[in-house]
Amino acid sequence: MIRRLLGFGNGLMDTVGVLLGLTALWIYPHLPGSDSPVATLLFLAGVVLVLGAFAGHVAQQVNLPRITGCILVGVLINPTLPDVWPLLAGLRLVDAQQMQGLTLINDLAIGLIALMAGAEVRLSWLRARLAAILAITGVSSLLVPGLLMGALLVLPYIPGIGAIPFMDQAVAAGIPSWAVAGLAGVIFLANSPTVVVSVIKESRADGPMSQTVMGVSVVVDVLVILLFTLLMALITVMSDGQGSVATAVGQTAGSIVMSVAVGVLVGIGLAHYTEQSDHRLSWTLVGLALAVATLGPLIHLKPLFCLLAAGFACENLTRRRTTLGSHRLEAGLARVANPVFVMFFVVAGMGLNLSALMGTWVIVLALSFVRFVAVWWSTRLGAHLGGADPAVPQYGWIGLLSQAGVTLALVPIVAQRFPGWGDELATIIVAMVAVHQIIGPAAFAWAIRRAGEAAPVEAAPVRANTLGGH
Amino acid sequence: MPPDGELVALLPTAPTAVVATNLDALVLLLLGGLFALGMPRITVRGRRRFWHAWANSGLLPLLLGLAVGPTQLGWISDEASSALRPLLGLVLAAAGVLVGTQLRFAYLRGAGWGFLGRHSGSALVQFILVFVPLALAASTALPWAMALGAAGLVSACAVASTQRPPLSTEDRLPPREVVMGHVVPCGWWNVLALVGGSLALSIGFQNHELLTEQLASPPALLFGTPVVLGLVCGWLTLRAPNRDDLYLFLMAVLALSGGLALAVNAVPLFFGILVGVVLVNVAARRSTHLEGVLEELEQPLAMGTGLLAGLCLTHLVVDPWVWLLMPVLILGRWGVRGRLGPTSSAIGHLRERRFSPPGSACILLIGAAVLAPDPAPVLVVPLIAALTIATLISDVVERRAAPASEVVK
Repeated sequence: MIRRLLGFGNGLMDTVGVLLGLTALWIYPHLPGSDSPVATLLFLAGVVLVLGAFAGHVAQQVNLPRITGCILVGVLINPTLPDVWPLLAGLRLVDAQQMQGLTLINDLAIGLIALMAGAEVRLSWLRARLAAILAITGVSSLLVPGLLMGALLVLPYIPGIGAIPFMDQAVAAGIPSWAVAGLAGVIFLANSPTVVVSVIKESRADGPMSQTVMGVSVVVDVLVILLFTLLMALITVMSDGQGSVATAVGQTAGSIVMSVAVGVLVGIGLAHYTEQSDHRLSWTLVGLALAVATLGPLIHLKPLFCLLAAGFACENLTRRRTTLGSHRLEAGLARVANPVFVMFFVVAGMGLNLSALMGTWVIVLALSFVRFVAVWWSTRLGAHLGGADPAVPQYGWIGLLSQAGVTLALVPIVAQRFPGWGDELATIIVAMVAVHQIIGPAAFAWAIRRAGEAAPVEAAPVRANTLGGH
Repeated sequence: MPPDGELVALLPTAPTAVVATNLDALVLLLLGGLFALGMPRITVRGRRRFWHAWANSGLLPLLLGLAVGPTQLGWISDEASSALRPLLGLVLAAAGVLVGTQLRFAYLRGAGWGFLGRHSGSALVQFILVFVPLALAASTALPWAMALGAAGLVSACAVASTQRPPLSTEDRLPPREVVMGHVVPCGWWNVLALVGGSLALSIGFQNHELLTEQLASPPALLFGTPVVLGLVCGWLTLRAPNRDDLYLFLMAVLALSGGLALAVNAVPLFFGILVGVVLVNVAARRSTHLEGVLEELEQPLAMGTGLLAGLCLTHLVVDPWVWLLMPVLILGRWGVRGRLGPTSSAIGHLRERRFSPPGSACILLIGAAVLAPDPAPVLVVPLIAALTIATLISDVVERRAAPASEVVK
């Protein structure tokens, strides 16, 4: 009884914390310098941290992952929420323009998570699970885009759904419907290593299912980027006869190779650093991730691959890697993981386009359903072909449902290149991401528990389990 | 959600970065790499190495930033320099919080009122000796509020001092004597200098036009906002169930301090100090944990402030009268430090105490001046020149006084 009351007290105080954050957001526009983008960025980053921390605690009280709490509180202050729910019209706490400043947070989070994911991968278990990872990736890359392509071509003939706007517009622009459906199918194939890594960290999961899902999520994203580049170049050639498919693919592949090479060098440097000392390591890692994530693209580096390679090289490609060095890196990353994950997922919730979701919900739900089926089927088939552990076909597909980073990065490229149907396609994809983002993390956390790969509950303090805690 | 950064350069049609932007990126990456790789070498090793004091205080990064910034080599464009300003604001607010957390009332009571009074009096005398002539000189070229602000900033730089004891005496005396005779008094002087300098900047250089439209009066916002923020953040800190959450809340405190400081037109450094003072005294129960987390930030913040301040300085046009600050500052430091300097006579020779180097407190003040509205940035170059000369002289003097075996080139 006393524990229950104490839990209620904690929940109450956490709710007070959320309310304090919301009040701060409400007061902020009345401050004289609130129109400064610099001030707004810093202020929003601070409020996002506070809101995310408390919302995460509240989510834990009802046995949900902290990530879900973070995403939901992000939805609560989402700039498009008042469009969907007019009662909240007077409570638009954050506007769309302010949201743009938060890109920096996204970049930092992506960078750190890539570094973390790379450092988690060990050659020993990678060798053991390579067959399963490649088999699932191979089957998924055929089945998921294939089924979604088919769905896009068939859905218009199903009563109650009607025409799919971007397909009609693209065909009117002279692009074959199979090419557009294929492009959409490839984007739907992408998943979210960010969600996978953060849920695994939060659950302190360790086992064949979580390791395989982490490997698949990274490899699939690499493949998605290559396939996307190929199809974009193909459609460009078909629509206006400009550019060359070979050049586009060559440039992308070259950029990936360069990113990996730079990442390996960075990783070797990082291994040297962590073998010598852990002095200010957390801050150095934050600086490294921020620098590569924000500045790397300007010199044609792809931060995701560069930092993945850095983490992997640091742990696996140096000769004299000691346990102490590995522990230092792990502890350094764990220290900054909590704030980074909280910020990333609150911002993800803030960025979901709820008005787009409301406008296209029938098509979105239909396509999401097809994607669920495709991911489930391809994971099971791939896992059987690759001889994976029994938990992988049973629960692994759930980890591949989430979509976030790569998907949302591809969307503006389509919209920018093909105004009109590209914008329509982007709207539907962003709406689908909203669905997958809300369902995915909680479902994957459940799957990890069901697979028996989560750390025992008694090992974690009552309220001490953090997103990046160990 | 905004797109992730990782794919910006994915396709041939992705925005083709102009040459200057590529160069910015490359230079910033190289500087970041240098900074990261240098960190353990500088902060862990080489207390006796020649460049230690320069790098550790932030002066070397400041000069490096200035050299590659838009005013000198131009390897960093004006646009990139402007984009780095939020980061400087954040770093300064964070540094302010760090300084503020040193003002724990329990510690002050423990140090003894006599000790505090003596050292506060010494600091104030040194401050006034530089402040009065400078304020009079500056008032001929600037409005009185700005003249006072400029004089306050420069005087604070005259007071600030490094907390590391002279090289010749570090191993010769018992640690307690070194701490009580040098480290603590210098720390107290620095707190006073930083509060005085940033307060002067807050009052002297804030944009009054913006403040006329607000609902509350400027002092209420300038002082009330950080106090309220400190109270709330103190409560947050008490609510943190573990070290990871404490870390998270501190990140929030630092970001909120930076953002709200700019939103109320305060100097981030001053704002951060107030937040830190309130926070640490509200959350006194968690002060040990707080100290552990904040200590990690100390050197990176000093060095980061130096680098960013150098990179963010966009013009070097200095009125002739401003160059007068340099000799006044050097003479101010030299002239009164021998008698009023915080070190006890057991620590170091008179000559060493007189030439005690300025340390990272001055770099924080310079960073605050870079971010302050015009014409505050014109003070920066003479200050940097004076501090470079002062550091060079102190390093040479200190090394000559130290036993030859202890000096590492």
